[in-house]
Amino acid sequence: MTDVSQNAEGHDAPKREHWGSKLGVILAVAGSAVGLGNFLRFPGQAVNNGGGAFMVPYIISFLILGIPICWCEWTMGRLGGRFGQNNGPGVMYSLWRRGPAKAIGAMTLFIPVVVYMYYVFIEAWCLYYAYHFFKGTFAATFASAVEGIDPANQGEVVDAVVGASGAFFGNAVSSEKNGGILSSGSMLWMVLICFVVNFAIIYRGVTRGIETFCKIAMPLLIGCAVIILIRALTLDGISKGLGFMWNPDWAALKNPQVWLAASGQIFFTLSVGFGLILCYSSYLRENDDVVLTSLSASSTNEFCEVVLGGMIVVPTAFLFLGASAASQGTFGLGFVTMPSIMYFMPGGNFFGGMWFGLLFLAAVTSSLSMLQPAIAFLEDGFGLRRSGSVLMLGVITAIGALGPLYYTRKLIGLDHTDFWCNFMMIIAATCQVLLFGWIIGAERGCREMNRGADFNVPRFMPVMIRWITPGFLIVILGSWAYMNAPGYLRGMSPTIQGSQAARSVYAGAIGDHFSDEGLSEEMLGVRVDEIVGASADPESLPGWLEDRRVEADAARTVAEEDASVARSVFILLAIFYLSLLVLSDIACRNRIGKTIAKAEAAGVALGD
Amino acid sequence: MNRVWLQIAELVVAQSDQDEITLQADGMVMMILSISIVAALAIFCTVRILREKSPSEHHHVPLDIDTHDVER
Repeated sequence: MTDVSQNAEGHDAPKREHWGSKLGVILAVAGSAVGLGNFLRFPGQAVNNGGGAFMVPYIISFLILGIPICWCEWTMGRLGGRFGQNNGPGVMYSLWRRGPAKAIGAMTLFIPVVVYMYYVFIEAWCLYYAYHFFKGTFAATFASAVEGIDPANQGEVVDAVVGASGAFFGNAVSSEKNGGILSSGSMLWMVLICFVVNFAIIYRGVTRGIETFCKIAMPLLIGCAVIILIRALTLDGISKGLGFMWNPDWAALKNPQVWLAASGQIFFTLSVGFGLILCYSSYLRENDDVVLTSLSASSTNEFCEVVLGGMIVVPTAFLFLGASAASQGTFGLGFVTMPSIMYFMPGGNFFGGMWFGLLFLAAVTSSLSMLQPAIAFLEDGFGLRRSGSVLMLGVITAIGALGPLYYTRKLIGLDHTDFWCNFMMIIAATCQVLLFGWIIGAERGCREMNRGADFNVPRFMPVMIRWITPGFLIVILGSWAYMNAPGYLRGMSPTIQGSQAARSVYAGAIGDHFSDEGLSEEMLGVRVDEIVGASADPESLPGWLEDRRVEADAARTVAEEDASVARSVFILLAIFYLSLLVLSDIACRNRIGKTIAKAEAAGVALGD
Repeated sequence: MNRVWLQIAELVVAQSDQDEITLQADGMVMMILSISIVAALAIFCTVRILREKSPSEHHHVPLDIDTHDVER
């Protein structure tokens, strides 16, 4: 088989890397997709959106959204690889020589790099928790929390354990004050270890680094999860927990938000639009099978999500802690509820350590996939050697990670960065599918998809890719923006946030003062407006409210600071994206453009 | 992303719920069906990959034998 990439770059260029085996690429892509979302986000979404009924929109979304987008991305990546490109801007530019291709390509660089900047922090939490479980810190913390409580009073014991777990998490991530992580030390060490581990693996390259690590880590991760699953399913009364998770609420299917939650879950769990599938698949050879490989990676991810993720966390949380604890969001379930469960579970220290160890492995495999696209861009676009590109990316991500690491109060830096990245992911995926369906052409694209495939994609796939999948994505994009963007935009206004914080302090006091009248929420709002005004910054206050002024002003200051941080995050992200866009443009005009031209001269084309 | 600090504050243990809930027939069906679909897909892919011939078995490249015909 002709090594097109070598043709494209000439004989002086270093030989382009390829995956060593099909199993390697499947485990690497599955590893990139399997993460905290599978074990924590999925069960939380399912239980809050109809339980077993959630699986109806979930599986439909998998079929019409997940699988087609993955096939498109894998095909585009392999095509880009034939033009000698392993980076998002290069892949996009080789498929469409227009300016917007560079903008889409820049998104596929921006998203993984920025997500890495805060994801490494979450990876460090997992390592920190695994370390403290094996060390016995959690057992000691919980024992101290329940000291003096009658064990027969189960409710109080649960409250104490969950409270201690929440406090441990708050201290670990410094959710009460900014800068706590940088001064405390222990979590900072974990972040540094994660950085070193990630970059040491990525430095070894695609085959010797990512592929080798994923071949070890993924079976180990699944093995650990299966052991914990067996432990969970053999607990007395687990059928109650399974019932809480899986009993369907069919009425939920009438709610459009449930359908959006399911399609959003599929979208985020498969890591589509991220740029990493484009990057990983560009290391395939010309006739490597993308249809079966993509489906295998997706099915491995789904296995981890539905079979392992759906059967462990929520059922055990419900069994030991009750409905409220089992209905938490991702971080609540993962870092507050799960450690609490381990207190009640026999062998909890061991299983807790194993659980967070597997989450750490899942996080490392995901982190690697976030770094490789930028490494490939620096190598392909600017001719840097591996060491240079690793060093440069290390410096960039370390500087970027300082933001989420410093602004930890209410995890504001992480929260806002995550929101804008998610938003951009949906835009990037929509653009990629539109490019595949309308610029490359759905029929031509599907013929390219079938090249070297063990079995062909269904005949209706061109129609699906051209109309249904992008239509679905546009609906998700619109709904996501409609539901979330106003809140996040308001969160960037110091005036609005400051007023709201001060009002909530005054509202509490006013509600207490007029408690005899039994004010409704609406009436309380009217009364607050009358007394403190809409801005909650009155010149004079009634005597009984004057002593709350200091508290309200303090709340206002904190909220204004948080809003300023949120605004700065947005501005910095916008500047970073524009910088990447400029770099993509420069690279496409020079080195990437020349490599593509050489590939074309060597006979590489998009196909018939 | 979750506002953990708020969720923790709102955490109320509903122990009574546990007594009322158990895995019902339709829950069992949905659980088994979901797991079966996902597991079947994973098994199908694994079997197809294992059955696939290695590239060396089905890519036959002409032998590169230098007969020195041109030199003569």
